[in-house]
Amino acid sequence: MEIDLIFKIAAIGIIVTILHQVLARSGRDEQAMMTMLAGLVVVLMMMAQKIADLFELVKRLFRF
Amino acid sequence: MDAFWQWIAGAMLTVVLGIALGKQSKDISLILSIVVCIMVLVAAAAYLQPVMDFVKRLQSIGLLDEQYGQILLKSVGIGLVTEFAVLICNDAGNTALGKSLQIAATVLVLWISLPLMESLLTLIEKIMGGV
Amino acid sequence: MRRILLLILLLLLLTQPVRAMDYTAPTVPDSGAELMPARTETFSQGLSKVLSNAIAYISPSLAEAAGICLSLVGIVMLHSVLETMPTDLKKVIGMVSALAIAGILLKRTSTMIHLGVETVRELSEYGKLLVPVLTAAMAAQGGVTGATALYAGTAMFNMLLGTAISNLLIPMLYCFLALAIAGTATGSERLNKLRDLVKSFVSWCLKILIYIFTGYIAITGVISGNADATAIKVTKLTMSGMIPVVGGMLSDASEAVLVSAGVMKNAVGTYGLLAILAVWIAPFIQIGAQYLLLKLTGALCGVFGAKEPSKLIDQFSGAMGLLLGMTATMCMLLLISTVCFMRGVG
Repeated sequence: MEIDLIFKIAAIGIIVTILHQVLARSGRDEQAMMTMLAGLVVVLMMMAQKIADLFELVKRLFRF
Repeated sequence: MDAFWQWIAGAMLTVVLGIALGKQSKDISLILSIVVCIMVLVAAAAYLQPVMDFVKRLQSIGLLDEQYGQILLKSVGIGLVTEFAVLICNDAGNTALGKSLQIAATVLVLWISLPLMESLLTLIEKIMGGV
Repeated sequence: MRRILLLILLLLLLTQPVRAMDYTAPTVPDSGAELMPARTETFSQGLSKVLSNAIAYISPSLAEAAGICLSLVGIVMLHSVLETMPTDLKKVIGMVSALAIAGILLKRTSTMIHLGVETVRELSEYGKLLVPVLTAAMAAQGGVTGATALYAGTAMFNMLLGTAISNLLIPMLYCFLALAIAGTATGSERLNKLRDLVKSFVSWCLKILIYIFTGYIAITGVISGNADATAIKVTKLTMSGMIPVVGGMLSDASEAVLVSAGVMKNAVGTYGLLAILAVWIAPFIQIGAQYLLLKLTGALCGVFGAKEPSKLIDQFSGAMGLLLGMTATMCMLLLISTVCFMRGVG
């Protein structure tokens, strides 16, 4: 159970949100949108890795 | 056993972080909760392994063909994973997707148990022929 | 502990020396032949020899039965995981586990059923050979009318019970199993009620047949009333406790056995009794062991919280119980008539 991963994702989320707010306030909406998307993609990749692990485990455990 | 407290702590932490993030970006909060779900499941599965081995041993003692136990095992596996996926879909607000996953899983379990039903049918036919 | 003491008391009551006669009992069919003692000293000695041979004979079958029960526990353990799931999936996987249990048990159950049918058929055949010899012996001693009445009754009920079991009750037993499997797989209440109906019909049939038989024997006046009250109580308690389904009224019918036990002098009769028991006891122990093991497994699986599979396992053990009742009824019929013949001779 890697607690640091939780903090990493939470940190990315907070950073992305802050950046989004900052950029949106200064009027650069598209860039705000892109940072949001970038943060999402990074977190998605972490999740994809974890999902792959889960499915590997299920395949092994239930002898698929 | 310490692992269990870790899981509980991690889950509580995630809930709180999720609430904090949720105001700003619901998506990242959702992904966070998915990731923590998966981590808890993976950690729990480590404890499931010896139980599964025991069940395998029990089944191999009496069964003439491993087939029946295997099929049930796979169905339970499908069920568990589907349950998890469906709940994630519901969390994300996409109940329709969850429902279709459920239907798909039900159909798949039926498909997997086809050999079981077929061999049962042949057995019954043999018995009926004898009677 | 008390039951064992009562059983020992029962066996002691049956001790009698044996004299040789002109008439020889027909030879035992193969399945029983292995269990028969070489020389028949007293009935009790012969009985204990048959018992010990039978127990040694059935241990491989016991191992197989135990193995099957273990794999059933494995399946139910898997099933217990289902409790967390949403309802549609739970129903489907419940059906899969019911079918898996059925698949494992059907083969074994049908082997046992064939064993039961074979035993009933062999007992019936042996009875058809034994009863004429006993009739001749009894008639030679002067009890002609009694002998003919007894012969007619026994032959008729022998045939009646034999055909009823193989043509009616065994198909009903299969029907019962099919309903149990289908009922558990689909969870349908109607199928479960049908299944209970079939089960009560089978046990009712057996009871009616044996009641009519003992009634007939009583009417022909072969059973005498004065008996040792203690002995009767002993048998009754032992029988009604040990045999499922028909134990209660078999214990009533067994009055005749104990009453006449004291007057067993006939070598043919004693040999015949031992032969009947030898044919009957090994299958009875096998089926009985399967019955007990399945009951135990059902209880154990109930512990895991999986209600439906453990109920299905209980139904299968119920089928074994019905089978026990059928074989026991046939055996009892022959034993009672043999003892009645021997009473007439003595």
